[in-house]
Amino acid sequence: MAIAAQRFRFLDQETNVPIVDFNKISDNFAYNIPEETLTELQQVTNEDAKEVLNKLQANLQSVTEQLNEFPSKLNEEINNALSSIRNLDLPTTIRDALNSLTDLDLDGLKGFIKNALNLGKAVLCGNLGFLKLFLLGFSLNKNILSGLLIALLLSWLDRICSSQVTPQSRQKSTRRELTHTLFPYKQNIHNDNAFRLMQTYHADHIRKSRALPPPRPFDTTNFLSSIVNVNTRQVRLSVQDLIKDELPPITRENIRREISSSLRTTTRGSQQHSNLLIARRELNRLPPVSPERIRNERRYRHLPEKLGHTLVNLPNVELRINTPIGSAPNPIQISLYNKYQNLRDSLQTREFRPVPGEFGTFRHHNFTQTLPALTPEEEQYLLNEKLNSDSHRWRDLHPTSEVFI
Amino acid sequence: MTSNKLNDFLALLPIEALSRLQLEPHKIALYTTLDSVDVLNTFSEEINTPTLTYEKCMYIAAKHPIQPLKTYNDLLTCK
Repeated sequence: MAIAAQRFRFLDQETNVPIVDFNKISDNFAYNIPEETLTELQQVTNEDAKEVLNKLQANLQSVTEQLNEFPSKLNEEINNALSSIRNLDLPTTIRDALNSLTDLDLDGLKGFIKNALNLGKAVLCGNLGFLKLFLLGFSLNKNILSGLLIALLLSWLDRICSSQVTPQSRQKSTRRELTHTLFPYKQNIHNDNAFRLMQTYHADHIRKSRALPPPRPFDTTNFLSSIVNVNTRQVRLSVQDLIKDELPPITRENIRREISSSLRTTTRGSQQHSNLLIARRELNRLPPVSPERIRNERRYRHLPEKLGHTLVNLPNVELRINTPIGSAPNPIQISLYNKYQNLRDSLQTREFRPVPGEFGTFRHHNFTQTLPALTPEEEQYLLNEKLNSDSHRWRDLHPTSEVFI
Repeated sequence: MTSNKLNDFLALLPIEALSRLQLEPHKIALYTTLDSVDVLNTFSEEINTPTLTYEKCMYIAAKHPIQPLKTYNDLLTCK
């Protein structure tokens, strides 16, 4: 007989262990009750039946009591589940959302729907998808109940929130904008990390402003004469090298015109003619934006916001130099500290207070005028220092999570 | 003439849109959807000029997106 066919005869030897764990069956007795037991059960007298009914009545009372306690227990379980999730290393945005969930008055299901959601409805409903995606991304603890309760909670919110977002409002604002308005941006800056944050963003600011070289003067005639008498590979390379210059459309058009006029004067089939043809083709393929700019823009995409919000919050914190135990800060660190301290003092009096929490306020702000001027040694120190930068991140989300918003 | 601001904006476009981007003296072709409010916020100075600029073209195109032609009827009724 095949092993699969015998699985109910040898349940205690079943390799599928979770079944044994769930139902507490340690042997196959339940599936092979002897005939004597069955006949004994049939011969139960009326008195025995009464006893059984009394026992059942007592059990039912305890069940009713438990049902009465159910809402408070449910509330407790939800809070337990939420606190276990909050213990994870979550971004501040999610932490705020979960805090608002626990702050709700969960006094039974009815109260939960009627009263509690009125307070946090806008916050929760606007970010429901956001919350779900995040909870999907984090592994919850092994307690299945926590996951189920969170799922239940989110499904309730799903139903309640379905009336919240109208198609008109959806057309007007993206989910990103909704998140901007409902979860104001809050820079996680405190006494211990303020100095490090300033160093990090200042270093990024230097890198960003340094990344692109100034445009070189371009001469069309020289360029054309340089590509006429070389081999094909060199023609291709010299045209591709123009990508760094980000030639304006008019210049490109001029080069194209010059090439066309040169093509008329050269003999067909000659090396010069084919070089000019290759140059024209490569020029048409040339992207208008340099790869350095693309890399730069993507890497420091959210730097203005991060730096701006750090500067806004700087007067509220104290700057501290965190050095390893037993080592003193080096002179460059001290001079940087003094400069940031002066900046902090000046920001207390100066008007540098845009609308707090609004993301996008600093997009076009010129920080070169705001930040203190550094000596070459200080700049070099900042650039060499290994600082974990998050200038590419929107809020403190992982870039993959950002894609979903 | 393209400004650094415009180049920065173009650099953040999706890669597939960037690879198909056409920037010529009297034409700009972007194969992506732009948010007109975002374009206006970014290029308010360039849009509010009397001359025709790339930024102004982008703003007008974002404000009045052209519906793709899917059926013969679309072709007959398109403006």
